[in-house]
Amino acid sequence: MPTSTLKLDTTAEDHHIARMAAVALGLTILESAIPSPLPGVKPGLANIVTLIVLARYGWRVAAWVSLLRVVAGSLLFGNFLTPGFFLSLSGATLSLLVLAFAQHLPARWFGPVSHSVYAAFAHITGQMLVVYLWLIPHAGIAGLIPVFAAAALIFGTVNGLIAARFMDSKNENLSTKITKDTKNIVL
Amino acid sequence: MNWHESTRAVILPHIKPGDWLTLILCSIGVVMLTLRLWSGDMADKAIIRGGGKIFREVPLSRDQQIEVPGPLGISIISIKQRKARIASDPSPRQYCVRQGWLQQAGEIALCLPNQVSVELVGSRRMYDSLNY
Repeated sequence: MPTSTLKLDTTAEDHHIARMAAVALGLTILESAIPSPLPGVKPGLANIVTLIVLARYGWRVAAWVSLLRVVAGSLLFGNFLTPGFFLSLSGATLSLLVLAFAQHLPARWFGPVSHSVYAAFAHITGQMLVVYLWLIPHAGIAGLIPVFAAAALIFGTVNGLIAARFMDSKNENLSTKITKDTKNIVL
Repeated sequence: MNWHESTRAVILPHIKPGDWLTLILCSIGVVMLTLRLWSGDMADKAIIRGGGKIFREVPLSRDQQIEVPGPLGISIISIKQRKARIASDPSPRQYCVRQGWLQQAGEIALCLPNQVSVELVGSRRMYDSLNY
């Protein structure tokens, strides 16, 4: 008797994308354990993965990883199709759009730090648009923009530095590297 | 290795000249945004007066058209994208219509012949030299 099984043909690239998205997902979950003074102000550690994927494998793969992370993350946290999901989706989409342009900046002068800062600003812009056009159509939220912008600048810079630091290590493992850096800075 | 040297060794090689430019421009942008948005001059609502009395107070958040009757006829005030203007007015010289869009708190358009005015106010009232 013939058995009918649903089999998807997956390529090596699919597996690779899935692995990267899983790493990003791990960082998202890690980050959700960090208390935040204001809802929406988050380091966005998963974007480190997006930056690295962008630099190494191009924009298309980065878009896959980023959007998969948003959808799978919302399923894990149970907020799929809730306002929180649309906030991350709009942020991620606008970041990817900006990165599509930012990746063409001359590499001699612009590195992951610039990409990260631009993506971070695009991210809060996307989120503020959804908040203003859909959730809270009131001018009062403009008062929050400086806080979000400052957070985007700081976290964007830090994430960019981490991504750059990761990428210049050819053979060295990232965790040993970070441990070493932390030791050097602390000691 | 002391703290400063190792921090520099970790951070500085990864910031290229263009990155510095990005960081400086974005910092300036954040400071300007903060100064502008936290200076308290954002307009929240429009006060529409007709014949010396307050006709209506409307929030700027909703786009709408308001018809205000005056001695010469009807003035139409339109509110769109957090801005307000007098769209049409029967006054002969059309000063208030030509004033265009009002956006900042404290801005005011007066149609004296038809005794209609629109004034934008923010959360706190600013002093206006017209008051003195």
